Amino acid sequence: MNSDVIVYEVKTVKNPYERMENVVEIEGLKKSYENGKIKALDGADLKIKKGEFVSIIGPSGSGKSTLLNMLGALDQPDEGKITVSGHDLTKTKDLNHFRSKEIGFIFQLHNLIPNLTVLENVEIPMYESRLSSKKMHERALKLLDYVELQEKASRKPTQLSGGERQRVAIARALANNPSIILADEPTGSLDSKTGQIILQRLKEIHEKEKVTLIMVTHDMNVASMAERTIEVLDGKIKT
Amino acid sequence: MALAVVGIAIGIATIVALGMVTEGLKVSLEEQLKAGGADFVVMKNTSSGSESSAIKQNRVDEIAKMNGVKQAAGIYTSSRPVGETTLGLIGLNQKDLNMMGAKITQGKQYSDNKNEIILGKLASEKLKKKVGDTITLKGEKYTITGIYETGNQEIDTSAVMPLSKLQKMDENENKVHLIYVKINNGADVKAVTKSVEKSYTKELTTIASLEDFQKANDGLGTVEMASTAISLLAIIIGGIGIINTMIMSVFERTREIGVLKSVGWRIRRIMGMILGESIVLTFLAGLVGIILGVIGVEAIISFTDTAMVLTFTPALALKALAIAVIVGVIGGIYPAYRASRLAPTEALRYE
Repeated sequence: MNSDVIVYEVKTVKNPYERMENVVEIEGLKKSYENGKIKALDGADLKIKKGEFVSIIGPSGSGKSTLLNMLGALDQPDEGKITVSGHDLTKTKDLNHFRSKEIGFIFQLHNLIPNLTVLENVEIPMYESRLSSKKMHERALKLLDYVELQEKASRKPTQLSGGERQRVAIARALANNPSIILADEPTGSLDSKTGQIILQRLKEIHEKEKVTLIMVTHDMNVASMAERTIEVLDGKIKT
Repeated sequence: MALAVVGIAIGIATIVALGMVTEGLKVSLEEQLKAGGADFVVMKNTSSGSESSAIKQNRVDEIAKMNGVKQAAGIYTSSRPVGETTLGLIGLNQKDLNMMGAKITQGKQYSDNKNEIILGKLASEKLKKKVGDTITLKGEKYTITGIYETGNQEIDTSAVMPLSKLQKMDENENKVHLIYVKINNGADVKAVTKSVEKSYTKELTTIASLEDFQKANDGLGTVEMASTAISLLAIIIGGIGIINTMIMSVFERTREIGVLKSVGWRIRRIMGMILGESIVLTFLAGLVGIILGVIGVEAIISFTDTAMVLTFTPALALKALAIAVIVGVIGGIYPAYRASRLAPTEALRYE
């Protein structure tokens, strides 16, 4: 009994998240496309603690983006169990509500809506919250201030640089105070210097907001900024 | 997008133009029915299968002698080319001019036995004729003795002349087209019209109101039916146009819809957005259509030199806008449904 306690204490020193609850629990997750010809995930198991910064690496077509989409409830598994922030995603009926409340997405190609202003793009996720338009406006401005883009609030995304667009995407991801941020190759379309700035900003947000950050990348240098790296290979997870 | 707006706008413009013609006809008829001292009008019962709209002239005297009738005036209508235009002609005995509700603003009335004529104010302006001038009708010269005004555009662009002279000109003697009837004080219009209809069942019908006219004459009903048919066509064609436009718009914005889904927008909100855009689009098209319709029909009427009363009412504008919005709703439902059902991952992958 005593030795158990000692082992436990040693583990907490190594991993500060050891005693934290799991925010992601995946068991035997399977997903295939084209009538089973392509196995994107083939029995993946994974646990991620609340507040962790995890990077997911793997070669193209290994299933890492499929995994990220499953975590964000953008896709449904064929088999297996997936629980995110306490929601069993195979049983949750209102996945839109789940996404709105728990998830913030950052995509490789920022995916901002071109005919809306920067401010309106940040406000978009808040339409599903119960905030008044005034509060939405105030919060969006605050978030833009946080990513140092408040002065460009009224511009269109096409008038911004690649790095600035990705900072707007970060502000949008934070709009509803999500418990998890899912970033799919967030620096993939940026030059290395801008990419480093974006990563630094994401790391700051993770530390300051205590938000769980799960980032897909194929770049080992980018992955090394995370506290833990997991590898997806042939639809399976290697930790 | 612009093409769909134009398509719907043209549909709405047609509805407005036809509506203005129909409303104008109604107003004109109402004015004519209420003109002067006539309490009701007698016309041929066209439902009896008779092709001719003419009534035997002796019916005028017979009706004049009926109980409760104070005055009955036979009216013969025709038209003749004068210069480059066509002049509407109304044949009426001089003693019955009071039934027209015409006010002689210049000159005097005509004499039944002379080649004399009075011109409506608008006709005199159009023909550039004044009192004392002459006009030639079927080779005979008629002296203009006066200029009258009724306020009714159709009558004011016509001319009134002795009944017998016009009948003779058309070689249609002892025939009239309408009989204007004025009743005695205290007499009941319904009772008198009933007794006229009873005396001449199948031959004559009476019109004391616009509703009566619509029952007796299919013409206005035909215009209204055409208007309804065109409205329906506009809804169908406009609806297809909107469906096409909105499907294209949804197609072009697949990635955007994927983003909205990824940030948690519910199906209802996405459907509402697409449907809302569709309604705004058709509403704008409706406004453009109303303007186009009014300008278009006015231009056609002035270009073709037709003496037609056009009436634009707020109700007509509301009807046109309502049709536009209905088109927007019908046309927007399917694209909105399609957008809301898009799989987010596929939508986000869309290039």
